[in-house]
Amino acid sequence: MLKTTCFDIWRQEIETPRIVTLCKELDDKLGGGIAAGFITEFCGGPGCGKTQMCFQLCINVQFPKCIGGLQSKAIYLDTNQDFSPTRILELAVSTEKRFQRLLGKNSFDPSSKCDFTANSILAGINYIYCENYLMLQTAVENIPEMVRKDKDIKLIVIDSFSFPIRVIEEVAERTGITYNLLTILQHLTMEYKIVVVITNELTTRFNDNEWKICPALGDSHAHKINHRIIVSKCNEQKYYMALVEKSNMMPQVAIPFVIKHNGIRGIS
Amino acid sequence: MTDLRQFDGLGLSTYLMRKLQRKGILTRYELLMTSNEELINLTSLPEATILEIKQKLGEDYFPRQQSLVANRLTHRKLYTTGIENLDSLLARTPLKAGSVWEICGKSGAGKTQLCHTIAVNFVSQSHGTLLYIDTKCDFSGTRIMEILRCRNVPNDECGHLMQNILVERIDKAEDICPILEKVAAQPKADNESDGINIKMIIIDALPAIFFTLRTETDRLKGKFLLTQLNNLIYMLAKEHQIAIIYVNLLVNIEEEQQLAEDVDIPDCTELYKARTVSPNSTCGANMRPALGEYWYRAPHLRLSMEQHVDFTSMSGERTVKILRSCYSAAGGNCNIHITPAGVY
Repeated sequence: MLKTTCFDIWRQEIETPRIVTLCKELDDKLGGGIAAGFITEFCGGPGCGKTQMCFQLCINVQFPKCIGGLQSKAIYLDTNQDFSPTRILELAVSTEKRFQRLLGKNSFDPSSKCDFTANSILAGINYIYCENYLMLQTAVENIPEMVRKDKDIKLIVIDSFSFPIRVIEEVAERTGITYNLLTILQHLTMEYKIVVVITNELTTRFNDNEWKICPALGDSHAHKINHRIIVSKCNEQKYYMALVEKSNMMPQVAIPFVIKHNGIRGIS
Repeated sequence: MTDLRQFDGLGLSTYLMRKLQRKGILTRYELLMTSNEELINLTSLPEATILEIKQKLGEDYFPRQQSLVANRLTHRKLYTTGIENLDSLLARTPLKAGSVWEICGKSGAGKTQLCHTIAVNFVSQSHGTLLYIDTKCDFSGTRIMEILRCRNVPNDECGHLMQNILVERIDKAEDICPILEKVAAQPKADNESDGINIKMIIIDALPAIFFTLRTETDRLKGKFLLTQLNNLIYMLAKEHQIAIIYVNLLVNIEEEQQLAEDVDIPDCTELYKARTVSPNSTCGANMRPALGEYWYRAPHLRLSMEQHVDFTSMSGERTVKILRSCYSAAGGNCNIHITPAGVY
């Protein structure tokens, strides 16, 4: 107690694992990708690319170490049945092809067990379906045990975090449950250096005599998460925008990206 | 309240002492407060002797009281926030040893950024060590480094300054009090050689740990821990001359209405309405600091941070308002800017 200094924290932060999003501009702004040690929330209306971003991260976390990836596994907690294995397979196949094209078939050192194929990618995603908030609570409370058994897990995705929690009527209970879940996740991300990504929906709220669109679950939830990235869609231009709304180390910025058949890419 | 028997040379015999005791005059204070006539009646000493005794005791007593006050005044070191606009707004109630402040605002308003800047400014002025209690992993060493780099601080000094910021990460409300007790156990004197010489504590943020205790079963526990924390903080501020800054959240009353009705006396809603931010403020009239009625009175000074609505959302400009102050009129405001080099 009273031994850790700011310098130690800084050193830890430099060494912390990060997952690239493949949108180069966003990665640069985030200091090399979505970092462990924080809870990152993707927020947006339906069809804005939240789930696509989650799929992409599940694949990116498995990038082999020889190209600077984490070569780890992901846990995917699905609450609104948005998970699509077909889409993941599509992404995985195109990623495998891309790696083979870039590196050549022989560049992988066979002794390093650097197995990066579409099948291995699908095997590296642990899928859990939670149909209500009680199951979500159980699942999140069990994650520490899973992580202790399998040290390779470096990414936890909850898509969507707010969906099962919004049905809780009583405000005090809802805040209590949200905070308990987020506290467990925050503890995990600090202790085991795991990247935590959750998604949230948009809702309307009556404020200053007019209805405004804002993220669900209210101010108290927004207070507890560390990074919030709002994604939205620009219909005419056929691209998406990621707005870093809340972050403890960078000012607000908006970055465009596109979603192609082979995943998320930046606009160059 | 010193016992009369401790004083030599008062010229009171054991018999007279007993007599005084029987009348309930045991301490110096009680003797000084008894009228001369009464003492003459009791002891049958001449008035001159009584006056002499009173003078002897008084000399010893009153000057010490004054010197204590004088001492406290000289030990009240000024720290300042190092942010020009904010310091001139708070010219009459500056940040000093023993201050208990609270910074509140909506999420994303820049509370953490303000705390980071105050932390850097505090250690740059080499007042001592700062303890940053981080409850939701929001403390960023990278950000501190960025602030120092933008100010062209040489590398070796960066390291030194960063060593002067201690960081404690906690995720339960129960963990906060042991840390503060440990701080209270540090030697009181300015013992620089000891290494730890904490002069300021920033707690960022309280709701993050106390909101977990909002369900029916945990409510009393939350209140108990909050009270315990408050008492410890006052003790640290008073006895150890530590400056304290809390971070709190501004919440919407309507959203929290249900809670307000549950926790507090039903007719408290009127009080809330009276106490909210002034109606012409940009963030609406329905915002109040979180953690309930009890906490409302806890800090000596409460500042709110607001984002401008009319500006584009990307702007780094924020308004700081004094919501409550024990020492001066509340209601002033100033503008500050969040920049890569910290808050100005």
